[in-house]
Amino acid sequence: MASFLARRLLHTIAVMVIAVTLGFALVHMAPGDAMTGDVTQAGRSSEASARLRARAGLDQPLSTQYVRFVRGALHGDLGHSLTDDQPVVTILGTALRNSLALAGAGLLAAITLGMVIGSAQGWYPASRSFRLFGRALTTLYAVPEFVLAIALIGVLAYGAGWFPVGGMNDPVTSLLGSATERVADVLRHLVLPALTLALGWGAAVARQQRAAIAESARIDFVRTARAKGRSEFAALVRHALPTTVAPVIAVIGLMLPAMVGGSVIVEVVFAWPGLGVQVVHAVAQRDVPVVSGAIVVISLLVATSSLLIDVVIRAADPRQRVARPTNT
Amino acid sequence: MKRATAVLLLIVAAAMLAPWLAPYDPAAQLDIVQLKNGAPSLTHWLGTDPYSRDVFSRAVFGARTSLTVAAIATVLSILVGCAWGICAASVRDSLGDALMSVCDVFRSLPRVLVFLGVAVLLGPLSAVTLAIVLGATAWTGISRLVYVLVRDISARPFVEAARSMGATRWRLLQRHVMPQLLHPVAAAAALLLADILAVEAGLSFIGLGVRPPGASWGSMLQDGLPYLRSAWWLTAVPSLLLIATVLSAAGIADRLNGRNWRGSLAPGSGAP
Repeated sequence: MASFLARRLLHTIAVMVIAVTLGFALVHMAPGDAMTGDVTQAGRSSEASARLRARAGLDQPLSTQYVRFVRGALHGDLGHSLTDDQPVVTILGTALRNSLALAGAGLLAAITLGMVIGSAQGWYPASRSFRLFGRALTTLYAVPEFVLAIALIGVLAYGAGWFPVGGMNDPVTSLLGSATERVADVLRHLVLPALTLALGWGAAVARQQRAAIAESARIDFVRTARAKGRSEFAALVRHALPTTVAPVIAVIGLMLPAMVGGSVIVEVVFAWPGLGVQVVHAVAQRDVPVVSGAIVVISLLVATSSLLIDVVIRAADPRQRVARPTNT
Repeated sequence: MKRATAVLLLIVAAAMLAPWLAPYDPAAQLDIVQLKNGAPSLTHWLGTDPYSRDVFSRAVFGARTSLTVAAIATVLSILVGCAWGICAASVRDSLGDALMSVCDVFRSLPRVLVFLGVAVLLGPLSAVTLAIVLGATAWTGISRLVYVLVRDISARPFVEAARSMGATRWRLLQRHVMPQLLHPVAAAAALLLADILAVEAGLSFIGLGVRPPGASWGSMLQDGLPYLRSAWWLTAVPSLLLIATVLSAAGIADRLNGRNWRGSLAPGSGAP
């Protein structure tokens, strides 16, 4: 366990170093610096410019600036936006909250959907309708998220009119509505983007779950449970299901990096005011500090959560304590 | 398999024959007043877009862009991934471990972040740059696969037999190990192609991909999204093409996996 932890920690640190370096490099490789883009520079003497640059620390050697960037990042200071007179952290903070709400809802729905469908498929391998269902889900998995999103908007928002087309809240309700109305409004806006994410991620979970359940049905204690007369349902839920929880969490851990990409695009389609929308907007505006800040924040989040997932799995599942080659 | 291959071949053929198939110039704005969001008709089979460009011509040329970018990126990542994996599996264990750790570190970095970084530095990309960036972020999965395969195959009796007969390391690799890699890598390549197609479309869709007015399926979707209700053909055409291509590539991959390689290394492969 100790050597595993050490290895895993080293890995996480390496990922973080790369991300922070990437973020730093962006700020410095982008043409010009914060001072060249300053609109107040017209008519300023070169001496004044030099003093301003010195005040911002831009005259220091790159290594010093790098150390300062890292120290700032560790203290939650990611610089200042170029287009919006606010610290990057402030801008990203709200966006991050919205992103996590969407991703969390999507993930929760994906796990529920995937576990239920995957279990049913694995437990009743001969069932035709379940197999058909599984095939439909696999097909959905191959469809890119944003195409799925567009289809859902077309059918459920424009066609049936059940859900709003995009955004996070209705302007009138968010201004005049009571607290419960406002929450209900946000939830209504949340359904379609969360569903889009849930269908894609749920398919991956279901695939894993089907294999795990099919395997667990052959485990001795599950057979014993059936033999001693427990109902099929109890054998599935009480005996087979618990063995599959760790692998499903592991699959989610492996999916994390890819999930970021999916949610960025889904946010853009639904105009959900999260990190994805914010960062795509910043790219269009060439607002380098915001982009670099987002890269740092997102990769730190992904790296720490996958570390956490790995440690939790190790700690929870005794079978994992035996040394074995890393998963492919 | 046959159906999937047929669909993919059809789309590839359409892409290759684009200049002959397309009735109009894909970037030409034919008549910005009369033909804005024109519905499908006899003169414009799949309608026209908000800039009065012919959707069919754009779809065919878009296939060209999307497929070329995806193909270059796939080949690139297969080459890099195989080289890296074979190297890591052939050197001594500690070094190989280190090489694979580097690969894993890159794998756990969300690749969309790399695209964002490149986009903010370089602005809209040319097709070739896009393909290189896509390929540079997609090789890690292949290299993991190849590493595991090479290690597994090298331990099999027939390789050991050849080694005991005095075969050099290069000969072992070339005559005994590499041929075994062909099918699994081909399957992985088909899957990667599907994946990269989807990623490229996604990037072009959010405006980080191919530079306009170059048509790609992703950018066509971007143009069409605001008119989803009034002009459904703008989004339906690229969506269906994208789904058909991705599904057939993934289907081919599945079949390659199932038919030739029901190995112990692919959990769940070959399942219906």
